[in-house]
Amino acid sequence: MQFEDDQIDSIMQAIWTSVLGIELAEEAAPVHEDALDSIFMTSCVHIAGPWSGAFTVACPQVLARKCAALMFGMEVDAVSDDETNDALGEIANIAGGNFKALLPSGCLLSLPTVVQGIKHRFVVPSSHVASQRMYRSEGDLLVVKVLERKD
Amino acid sequence: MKIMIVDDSKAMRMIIVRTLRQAGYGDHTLVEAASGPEAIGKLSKGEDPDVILCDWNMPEMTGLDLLKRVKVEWPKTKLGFVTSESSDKFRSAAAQEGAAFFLCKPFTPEGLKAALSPVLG
Repeated sequence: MQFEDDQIDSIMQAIWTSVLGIELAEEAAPVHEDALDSIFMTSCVHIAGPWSGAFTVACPQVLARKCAALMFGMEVDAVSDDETNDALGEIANIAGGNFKALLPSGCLLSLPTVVQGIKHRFVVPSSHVASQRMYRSEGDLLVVKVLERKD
Repeated sequence: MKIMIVDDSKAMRMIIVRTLRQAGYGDHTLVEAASGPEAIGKLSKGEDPDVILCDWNMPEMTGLDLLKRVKVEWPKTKLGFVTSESSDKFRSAAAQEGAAFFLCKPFTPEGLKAALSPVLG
């Protein structure tokens, strides 16, 4: 593996500090995602090249809206769905871009996509979870995954 | 002084605007574009920014392609990258094409000021 969990932690901490200005704490007792019944959003950027896979950032919609409110400088209630998608997509884009710098040269980064639903499972075919990190911010869970393809 | 911000993410454009104000560029005229073609459209209609802050990965046209176009058609306008691409390969490509600076996201007001100061004084 070309990367360590603490490198992913550093990327996420830098985004939460510099972009959002709020705290991000490592989740002390990781929870199983199947136990989560709120509306969850998953933002993803794909990486292709010498290393192939995806970097995903998932959180309850309520946290995504809080992030969007901070990024747009507005009240949470005033944030639209499009703005929430844009904000979470940009977070995955920044995190994925920084993660890509840990990989072999020549990898390409996709534009972000965002999906949402209750108890949805985000799958990249032929991939396995190379890393999973769980954090808590503003009381809500944030799940970051590195999905590595093995074609 | 006029600064153009080109990024397909409205959230990131908002953050860049806010950070520019924090970095002391609040009295500059700020112009936004959501894509390379939109930026070219504004430049073609007479917008004359002193510097363009540009994302790299965007739909329709990459920031690097926009830089190549700006160099030819608006040679007095400087363009620097504000991007999540942070590898040496991208830095080198930007430098080769004459980018004014290369700033990685996430960035701080200090980092943005350090990138812009040599360009805007």
